[in-house]
Amino acid sequence: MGGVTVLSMDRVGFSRDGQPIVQDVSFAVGEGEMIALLGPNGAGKTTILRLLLRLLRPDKGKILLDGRSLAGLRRRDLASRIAYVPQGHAVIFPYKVRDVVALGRLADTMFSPVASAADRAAADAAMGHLAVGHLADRSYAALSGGERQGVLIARALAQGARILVLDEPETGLDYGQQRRLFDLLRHLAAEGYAIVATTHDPLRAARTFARAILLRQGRIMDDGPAVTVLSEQSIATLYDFDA
Amino acid sequence: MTIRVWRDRLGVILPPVLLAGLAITSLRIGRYPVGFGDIASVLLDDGTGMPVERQALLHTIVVQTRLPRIAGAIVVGAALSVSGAGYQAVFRNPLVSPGLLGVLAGAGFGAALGIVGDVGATGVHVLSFLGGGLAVAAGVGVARLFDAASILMLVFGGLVSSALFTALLSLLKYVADPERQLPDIVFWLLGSLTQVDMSDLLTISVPVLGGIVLLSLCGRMLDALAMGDDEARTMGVPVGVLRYGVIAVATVLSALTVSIAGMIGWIGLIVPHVARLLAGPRNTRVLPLSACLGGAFLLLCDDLARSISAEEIPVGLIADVLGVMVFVSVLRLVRRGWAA
Repeated sequence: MGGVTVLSMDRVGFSRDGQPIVQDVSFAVGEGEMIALLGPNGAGKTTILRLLLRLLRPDKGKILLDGRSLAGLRRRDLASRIAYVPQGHAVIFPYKVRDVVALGRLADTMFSPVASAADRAAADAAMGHLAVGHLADRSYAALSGGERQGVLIARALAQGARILVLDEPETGLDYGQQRRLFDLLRHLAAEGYAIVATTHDPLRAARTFARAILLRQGRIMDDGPAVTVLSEQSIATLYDFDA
Repeated sequence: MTIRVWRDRLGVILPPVLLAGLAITSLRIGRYPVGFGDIASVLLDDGTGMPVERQALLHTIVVQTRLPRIAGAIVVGAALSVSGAGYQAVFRNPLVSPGLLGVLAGAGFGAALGIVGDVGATGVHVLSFLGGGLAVAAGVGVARLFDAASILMLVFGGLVSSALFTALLSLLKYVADPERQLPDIVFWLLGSLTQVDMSDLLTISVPVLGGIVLLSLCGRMLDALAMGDDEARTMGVPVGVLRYGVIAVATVLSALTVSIAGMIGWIGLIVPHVARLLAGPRNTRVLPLSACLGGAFLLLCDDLARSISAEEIPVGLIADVLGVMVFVSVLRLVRRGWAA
């Protein structure tokens, strides 16, 4: 288990059009913890990520960040604590990697025409930390999926956030890229970053993540150390096949 | 590093300087020959050694006739281009133009209503501005009936609103007096700067300049929006406020231009592409540069409109034709501006 609790859900429920999507979900995320959210499509993984990022508001229960209600935080305070790392997507306009990473500093300087020297330094430091500095002057759109993931994580670090929320980060990456990505996430967790990621790959999760939360029909089916929680039997139950 | 800093600085300084140069050169263009010396003496109010009648004549030509027209071309071109760049950023689509949400159709309808209702020149301006705003409000309203800030629903709302106001415009054309009013409507729809006078200009300059500054200040937030709504939100951007705010400002900008100069299309679509080609995709650069380039482009078109033949050609036509030529000739390069 990780250190001090930074983020927690307490009996959270969320429904859409009267249909419950997430029900009675409670878990706490500690500093330096690396948590995988697993479950079949429609189990509520992405909804939970979106609730943690305050992109959705819970109908029931509470979400706490550093012990304070997520709902009452100012946008910029939220941005400085939690960062979202989406899948390495395409962006229509050809922004340079340097600019994409510097956007992480946006919350503090919303109306300034240029990123300040301090912001650029933070962006450079984040790129250096993740070994994507050599891409700084490339167009983000021209990068491979793996490189894009690296850049988006660098942006999250530049944002100053210590909690990273990732949406199926392995999507579209080849084996080597996946290995490097998860090694990187493990390093970040060792440095104290809290990491919550959805994933489709239970075998990878068992090997890489310290903890796994299994979701089925909007509820937590099991939560614990990944190696124990992800038994052959539980994976079969989770994904509905005969073991 | 230093090369980049200097290139960046040059990129900021050069466009306004070139625009000013073009504006001064444009003061020479016209039936009556006027030299740079004459222009300097009028603008600096220093008529030493010049007969009084010639001073007065030069003043009339340069200050009262040509200057408002030139300033009008710059203001209208700048407003339309910034408006287009704003729409493209908010809709994350390089093929979007200020007409998307129906502002042009609505403003055209408003003006035609004014012409048919015989409300006079000022009335036509006001009705046209209101028509543009109303059409966009209708488009956004239709979108909101279904789903708050979704891009797809906004596009759909804009289509509906454009279609409605285009139909209403046709209705007005049908009922307009074919001898007197119909030609006015048709001419007005072609777009022209002949009617622009100093008071129009003063009325629209302040909101146009304010709008350009305001949109430019939102540049970095618009960059974040280019990554997607969710990402922008998690980076601290108030996405809904930003999207509707930019749409509102961009709509006011284009409705103002239509109200004084009629329908001048295209440039709001093309100019931001050229700006992106020159300065990269960052909106803090693209928006102000679009203003400069748009002003220069429309000024150039208007110079042609009033000089290629004895009978003046509506600048809207020239802007369309020249715009197509520019667009096609830079298309290969422009495509680099949209990430493949």
